[in-house]
Formats: sequence, C-alpha cells, structure tokens
Amino acid sequence: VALRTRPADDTWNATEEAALLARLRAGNDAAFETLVRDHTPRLLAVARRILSSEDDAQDAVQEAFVSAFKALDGFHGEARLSTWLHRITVNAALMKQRSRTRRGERDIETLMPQFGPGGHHVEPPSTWLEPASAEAERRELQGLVRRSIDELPEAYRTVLMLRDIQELETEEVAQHLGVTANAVKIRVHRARQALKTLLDPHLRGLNA
Amino acid sequence: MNCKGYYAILRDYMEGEVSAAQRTELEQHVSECKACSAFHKLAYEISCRELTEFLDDYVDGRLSPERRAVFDRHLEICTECKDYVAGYKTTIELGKSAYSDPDEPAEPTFMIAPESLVRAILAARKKK
Repeated sequence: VALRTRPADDTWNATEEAALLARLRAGNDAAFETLVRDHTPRLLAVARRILSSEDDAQDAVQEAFVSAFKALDGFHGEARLSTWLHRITVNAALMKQRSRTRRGERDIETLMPQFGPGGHHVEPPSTWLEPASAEAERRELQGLVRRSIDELPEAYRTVLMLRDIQELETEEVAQHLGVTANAVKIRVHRARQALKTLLDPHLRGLNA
Repeated sequence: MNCKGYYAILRDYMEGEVSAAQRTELEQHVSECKACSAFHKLAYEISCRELTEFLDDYVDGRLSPERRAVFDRHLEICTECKDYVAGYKTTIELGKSAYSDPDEPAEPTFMIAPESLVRAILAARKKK
C-alpha cells in the first residue's frame, strides 16, 4: 500500500535516492547526517500528532531512526525512503503511546447514541452552535477537542488520530494496527460518535 | 383523527407506546389522508438507528445513489437526525483541526529539526 504523495516528496529523485542509499550502506557519516536532517522535521510532526508530550515525540523519532539504521540492509527501495521512514515512525509512536497508561479514559459504550425499540433517538440530539471563529475562542475549542480525544479509549483514539488527523487511508491504518480494514472503519465511526458525545455539552445551542 | 393529531402521536406510535385505540385511529387516518400516507411511508423507510449506524458511509460518500436518496428523504423529515448529522460532521472537522496550528504551514516541510535531536540520533547510530 503506497502512502499518498506528500508535498515534502515533490523533489524526490530516484537516482539521487539510490545514490544516498549506497552511501548509507557504506556507512558514510555525511550521508547519515543528510538523511536525519532531511527527514526529522516531517517525522517529528508525525510523532507529535500521535503523542501529546514533546519528549515522547522526539524519543519516538529517535527510536524510529535507530530501527531504520538497523534495517537499512534489508531495505531495497520497495518504497520511497520517506514512505518507509514514515511507517517506522508511526509504529514507534504507537508503541510508545501503548506504553503510556493514560488516565481518564471513558467507556466507549456510554458515549454511543441510544435508541428506543422503534429505532428513535432516546435523547433527541441537540442543535449545535456554529463553532466560534474568533482566534481566542478557536484556540480554546481546539484545546477542548484535544482533551476530549484524550478521553477516548486508546483503540478508538488511535484510529481517529491515524484516519481523520494523519489522514491515512483505512487500509494503511489496518496495516499499521494489524487489524482488518472493516474493524478500522467501525472504530473510526464509533470514535467520531463518542467524540461528538463528549463535545456535546460544550457546543449545544441555547434551545437545547 | 386529523393530521395534527397524527403528528402529535407519531413518535409514540413508532416507539410502540400508544394504546390499541390510538393505534387504530392513527392507521385509519393514514389510510385516508394522502399527505400523511406519503409521510408515513417515508418515516418507515429507514430508522434513526439505521441511519446513524451507516452515517460514516453517508458522510464519506460511500453509499449508492439509491441508498443515499433514502438517507436524504429521512433527513428531510427528521430534525433529530438532521441535528445529529450536522454535529457528526462538525466533530470530524474539529478533530481534523485539533492538531493544526493556524500560525504554521499545514505541512511543516521547511521546519528545522531541533539540533539536539539530530545530534542524539546521530550519536545513537554510533552506539548501536
């Protein structure tokens, strides 16, 4: 499964990459420095979106590079170097996230909408206010959304992060997590519904 | 029963919370009133539960045109689902923008890596 082309890859050149790989395999220090300097900013951004702490994000990138250095001999250019590193970094970040026991996780079932025997909403959904556009209010809302995402059970938080925030395809998320594409699809939908429930008290209109 | 009476108890009727007499009265009205009969058919085409269950397919554009039309018809008459769908869409957008910094470009292509991190990675390679 190929990752979508990202702007950072626009300058990608197959010949240059093959030459860089040859120098890396030969243990050329300058080549390693080029690799690390070129890819760290983007990989760090990837890790930051999965991990809330900056230290953890930097650790994940470092661990990803160390794994990549070890696996370099087994990499034969099946994918672009950037795609390969991106994948290793996502895995490293997810592993680190798993090792962090998060507090305040909510039970997903309690966050799902409830229906009566006739299939109607038990509690009528509220009409939401238009999210504020003023800078300060927008930042406050952004903080609220992040805290709410943190309250989701880990399995749901992870798929939401990868699918809606990192914007990976369902298939790619399935590959990363070792689950079926259908399981990812169901989890994303449930995660969105749960997040909606968590945001509801803050966004419901005055008529609710 | 008139049309107003029909709408007043429709929800309870669908939830099975009406008396036998009310049920007969409602069904009698539906069979006689063209407008309520059409509405009644639509109201039963898909339940709120079913619509919610497949809402991701609707929002992400994965439904067939026929199925999509069924969802659209339900949303025309059901304000509860209309509110739910609007909130669901807003949630997706808020999630997407939760980690974007309006002061930074969307893709941090030109971002500079922290020098300490670059040094640590290169040092870790020497240690392996």
